[in-house]
Amino acid sequence: MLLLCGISSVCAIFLIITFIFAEGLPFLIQAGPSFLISSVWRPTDSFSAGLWGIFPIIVGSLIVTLGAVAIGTPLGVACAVFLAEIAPAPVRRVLVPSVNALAGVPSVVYGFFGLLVIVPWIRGQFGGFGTSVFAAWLILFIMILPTIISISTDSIRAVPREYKEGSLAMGATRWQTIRSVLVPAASSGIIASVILGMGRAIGETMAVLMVAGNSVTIPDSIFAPTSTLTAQIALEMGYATGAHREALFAMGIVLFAFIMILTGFANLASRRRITY
Amino acid sequence: MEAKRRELVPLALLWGAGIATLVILIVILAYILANGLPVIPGTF
Repeated sequence: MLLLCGISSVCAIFLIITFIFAEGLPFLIQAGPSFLISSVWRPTDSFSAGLWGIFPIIVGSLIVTLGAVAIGTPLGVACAVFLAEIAPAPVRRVLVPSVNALAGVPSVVYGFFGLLVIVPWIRGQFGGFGTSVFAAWLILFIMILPTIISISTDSIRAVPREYKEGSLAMGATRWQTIRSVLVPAASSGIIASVILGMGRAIGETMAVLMVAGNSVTIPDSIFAPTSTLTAQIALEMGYATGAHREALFAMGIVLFAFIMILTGFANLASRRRITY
Repeated sequence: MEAKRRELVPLALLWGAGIATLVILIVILAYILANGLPVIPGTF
C-alpha cells in the first residue's frame, strides 16, 4: 500500500513533467536560441520568430530572485543563529510559532499587503508607479525568511554539542564559538536553506504578479517595473492559444530547468560535511 | 572585559535580527486583522 502511494506520487510528477515538455519542447526547438536571447515579447503579433524573446523575463526573474535572497539571507541566518543559540526560552516560544505562521500565510495575502502598503510607500518615497523590482524584493524577502530561518535553525541545532562545549572549554567567547565553530559546522544546512529560499523566490507567482509591474523590459533601475517567468505565465495563460500557449509552456520548461539546477545545488550543499 | 565589549555588537545584531523578524510578522498580521476583521460582521 505504501509502495503504491510512493509510485503514484512519482507517476503524478512524471506525468506533469511529460505534459509540460510535450507541450513546450516542440516550440522551444522550433524557436531556437532566439527564444532565450531575444528581447522582444509580442505574443499576439507572431509573424516573426524574434517576437517570442523571453530574455527580459529571464533577467527580471533573476534580478528579483537574487535581490530578495541578498536581503533575506543575512536577516534569516542571523535570526536562525539567534533562535538556536541566543534567544531566551520565552522569546523562542513566541518567535518559533511566529516564523511558522509567517510560512503559512498565503502568497496572495503577501501580494495584497505589498500592493496596499509597500507599493504606495515606494511611490511616495521614490516616485514612479511603485510597482517595481524593489517592491518585489521586499515582498519576496519576507516570504523566503521562514524557509531560511527554519532550515538554518535546525542545522545549527544539529551541530554536535561537543563542538560547542569544546570551543567554550578552550576559552572561546560565545560569539567566537558561534562564528568559528557552530556556523561553519552548520554551513551545509545554511547553504541548502538559502538555495531552497531561492527556489521559493523564483517560483513565486501571485505576490510578484501583484507588485512587480509586469512590464516585459529589462529594468533600468530598482524602481522600474519588471516581469518574471511565473507571473508572465499566470498573466497570459488565461487567453493564450496556439503558438502563444506553446511559448508559455516553453517558458515553463525554462523555469523548470532553473528550479532543477537550484535543487541540484541544494542537494550538493546538504551533502557537504565539515568535520573537525 | 575587552573581549566581552567586543562581543556586544555582534550579539546585539543577532538580537536585532530576531526582533526585526518578529516586528515584520506582527506588522503583516496586524495589518491583515485590522483591515479584515471589521468588515467580516457586515459582509457575512
